[in-house]
Amino acid sequence: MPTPFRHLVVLMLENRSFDHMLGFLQSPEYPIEGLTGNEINPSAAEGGLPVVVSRDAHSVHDLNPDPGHDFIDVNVQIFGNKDGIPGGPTMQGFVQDYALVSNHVEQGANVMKCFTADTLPVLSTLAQQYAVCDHWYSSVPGPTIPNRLFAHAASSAGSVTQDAVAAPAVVKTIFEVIDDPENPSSFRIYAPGASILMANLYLARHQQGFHAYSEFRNDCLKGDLPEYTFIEPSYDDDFANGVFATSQHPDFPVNQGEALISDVYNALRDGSQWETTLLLIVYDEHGGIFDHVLPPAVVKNPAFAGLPDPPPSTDPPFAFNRLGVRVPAVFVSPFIKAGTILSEPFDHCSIVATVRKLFCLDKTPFNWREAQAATFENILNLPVDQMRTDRVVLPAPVVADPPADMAAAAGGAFAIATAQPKIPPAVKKPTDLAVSMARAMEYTMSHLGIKPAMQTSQIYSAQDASSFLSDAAVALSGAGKTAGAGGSRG
Amino acid sequence: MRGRCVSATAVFLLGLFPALAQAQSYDSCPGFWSEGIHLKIDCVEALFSASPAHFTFSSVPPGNGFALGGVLESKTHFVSPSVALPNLNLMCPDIRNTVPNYADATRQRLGDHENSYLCVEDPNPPPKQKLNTASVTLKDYQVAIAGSTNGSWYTTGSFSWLPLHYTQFTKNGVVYQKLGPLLTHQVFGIQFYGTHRNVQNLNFYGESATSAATQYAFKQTETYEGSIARLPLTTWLRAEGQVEHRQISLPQDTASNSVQSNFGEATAPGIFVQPGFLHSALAADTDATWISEPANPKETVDANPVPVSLIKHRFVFRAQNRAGYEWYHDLNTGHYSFGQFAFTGDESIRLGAVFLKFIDNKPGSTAFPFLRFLCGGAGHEATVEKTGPNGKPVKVKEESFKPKDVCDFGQLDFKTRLVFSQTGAANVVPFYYQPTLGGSDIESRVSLRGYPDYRFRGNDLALVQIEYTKSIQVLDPVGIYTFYDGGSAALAGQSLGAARYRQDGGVGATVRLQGKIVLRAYAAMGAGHGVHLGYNLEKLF
Repeated sequence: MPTPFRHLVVLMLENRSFDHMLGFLQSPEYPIEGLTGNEINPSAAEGGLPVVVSRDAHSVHDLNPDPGHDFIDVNVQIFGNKDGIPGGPTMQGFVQDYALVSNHVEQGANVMKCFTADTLPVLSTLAQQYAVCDHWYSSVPGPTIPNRLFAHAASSAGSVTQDAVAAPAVVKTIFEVIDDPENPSSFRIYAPGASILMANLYLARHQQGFHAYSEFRNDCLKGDLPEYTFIEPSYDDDFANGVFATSQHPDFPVNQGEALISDVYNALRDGSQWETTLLLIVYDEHGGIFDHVLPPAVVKNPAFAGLPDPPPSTDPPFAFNRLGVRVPAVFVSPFIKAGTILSEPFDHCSIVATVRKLFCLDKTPFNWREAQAATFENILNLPVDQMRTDRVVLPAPVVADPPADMAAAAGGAFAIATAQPKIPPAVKKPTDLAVSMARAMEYTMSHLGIKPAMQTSQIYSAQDASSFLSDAAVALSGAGKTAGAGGSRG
Repeated sequence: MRGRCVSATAVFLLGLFPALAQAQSYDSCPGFWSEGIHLKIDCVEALFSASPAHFTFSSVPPGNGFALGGVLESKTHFVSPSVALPNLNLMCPDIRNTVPNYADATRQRLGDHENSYLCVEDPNPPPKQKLNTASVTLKDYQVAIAGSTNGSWYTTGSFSWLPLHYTQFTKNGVVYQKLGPLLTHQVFGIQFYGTHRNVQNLNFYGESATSAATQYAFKQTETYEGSIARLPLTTWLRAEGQVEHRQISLPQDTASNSVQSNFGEATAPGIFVQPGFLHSALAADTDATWISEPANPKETVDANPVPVSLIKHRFVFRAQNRAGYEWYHDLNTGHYSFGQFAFTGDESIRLGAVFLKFIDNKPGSTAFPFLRFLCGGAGHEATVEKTGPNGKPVKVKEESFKPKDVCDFGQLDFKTRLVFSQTGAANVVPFYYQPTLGGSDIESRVSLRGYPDYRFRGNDLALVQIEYTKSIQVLDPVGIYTFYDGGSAALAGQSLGAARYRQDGGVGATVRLQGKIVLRAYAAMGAGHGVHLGYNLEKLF
């Protein structure tokens, strides 16, 4: 099938597994590799009954505190031990790991809660009306930053943890490859706020590709999208300023991310490039939430012996020869039949490989992980003369609230301290990701000779982190030297 | 982006000075002697713009040579006023020690970051530690001093204060700064400043547009200090208020061509007595931009798609206007008090185009060299290694324009300036505060370029200018421009009519620093005395 799409738009959200979001869409008529409803994980309570997957996931409060999704946690979840040694039951460690992380046996069971089409209407509708991938894996059995780096560079510079301070700065991304002066293709990164990509040294010096997300819809209407577009969600709330996190990272409301998905889809649908655009909605990693499919190992194909390995991690030791847990991935295009199920294994390297294949002059993969990744330029399954002209009207996002007592308990956890002195509502702490992004930005700024107004060691609250990231973005934009549309200088 | 900005970032410009937009850094200087011309230019720009210290030039009134000096500054325009200061009234013990029954889950959520504890408000805060909950930011300070070749010099200092607490507000995906009902991109600020300048040569030709062409000279020292408050009302409208004290003195000059030797109070009011002035002003500024750029053609997957043209137009319209009234109150004699209505406008159209297709410089191409000349700054060039005819690798320079590259065709400006002075029956406007036409005025504003600096003085003034400016990327930072000037100056009771109208036109060259024109050199004609050559340096302080 030839590739009629000339524009690829990727929206990458945060920390939700495939089964958690789309597993319960499975039916005889829709045979995705989803949930039968009988999947279990052993209880964390000694002698307790196994915890069964359930259809009662809520928009917030289920996953507070954040489930563990570092490399060690994922080893426990997949293999039942911290070292990732196979041999025992697999995909049975989610409840126990979360119980340890949350220090609550009962809380551990919440990782088995899943959404349904009724409680996750937007993503579910798009999955069923277009194409769902039921074997899209995160590239790294670990947290956000390494996985996002794999989505941009097929490598995380040897980092498998969230403390990847230098990695975002040093990796060569596919954006840099597209930016070849001789390449007719271009890219844009739409971000409502901070992006880990701003910490990349090349992108920090060539910032013409960064655009505010507020411009996206207008660019769609003008037919002004480049060949490759990457959309970042907002990673944190700032209620006082009217900003809501849309990443769906626990414990931010899932419905806000649904609204973002809906916004992106409608902007593309209303735009003049709809017919030639492929939208990919994908998640960076599973967030420590249950999925029942064992991620495969990846073995270097001898045909790619001449390609380098992605730099390994030394602490903990890991050779990036094993994929992470499944994540939701949905393709949208007027050339996709409704109900399409793609079962070919993809991972985030597939994005890099596909962008290179379609939009780059330089065809040399970064490494064998990229070379071996399946590409998706041929997934469209409607011929040109059968292009869909229908408009899928998306339902409104649903706020699946927890029961009143649960909400009170969650809020009460912050007011539970009755010892004197009286404790006011907590100062909102920054998320791990926000602090990690800030440290990465600080590292890059130091390399560019920029002194931030505040040091990351001074970040105390979520507001501090948000301000640091905002100020760093502006400071980096002031240091960016345009080598594209703004002019070349030899 | 500007992106952008990117982003929900907050960039707060108080419009403090006509200062350079973005400072270069000294990164390009280490390789000055070995690198190409553009990096050499970057280094020179850094010498005149890098923070915190850099050289500066200009800012002495025209006719006093070239001034060189130094600046020490801290410009942190990106400081967000939404960041509340740390509340010093909070006690922040390690919660794990003080509240042993605290839920472990909460402790886990707090994470292991440094200072990961809850703060408790001190019920008895020390009074001295109490802070206003508004953002108090003392940033954007600047101190400068410069001296010129004829002994003129100036020194100036300023700092800004952002006293009000804005909150960020997102509407339709755009982030604004919110203060009550006001949604703006900039925030309220007050600038405090003080300047002293000592000018060795200012020219005087007598009052009115019909004064003789004989040039006289006077010296002037001036000290002024005050504050300007700027309140953004919308994203394009700002209100401004100013209060300052000004003290001018005209040192005694017995030279034969001095004003004091040739004029009296009647013909040069204020020549012998210079009072102190309390100067206050109220003004409204507009800065509105509108971009005209058609949408790209709808993309289809037809077997025979409609050919896409190479470029589409992109025009940026901008309206920058200022209208205000100023009061000069004579603090000593009262005789020289006057009021002035002043309007300045600059309506501009930036002409441009956006590339829709990729085009490279193939051998024999006739279109590409023309495009390179017209919009070379938007293009790309790379040196690639290819196999030469003899089979050996050769380095080849390849040039191209990519889709979405913006071609700059130049900018058309329509500028106006109106000044109307008002005095009481027994008052006069001192000659040194009369607006002037001809060359550049005391604030380095260029007017009738076909005439010498300060040629015509009057209580009232009208000026219109049309300019077309074009950057020539291959000559970057030098550009070219062409202009028309027309204006008249009149004393009280006179009209600004045709009898006093003077005009000229000409061509010139510009030099940009950090994207802003800082030098204009020109050859002007039409004043009835041949070609007049001159230059204007932008006032930076």
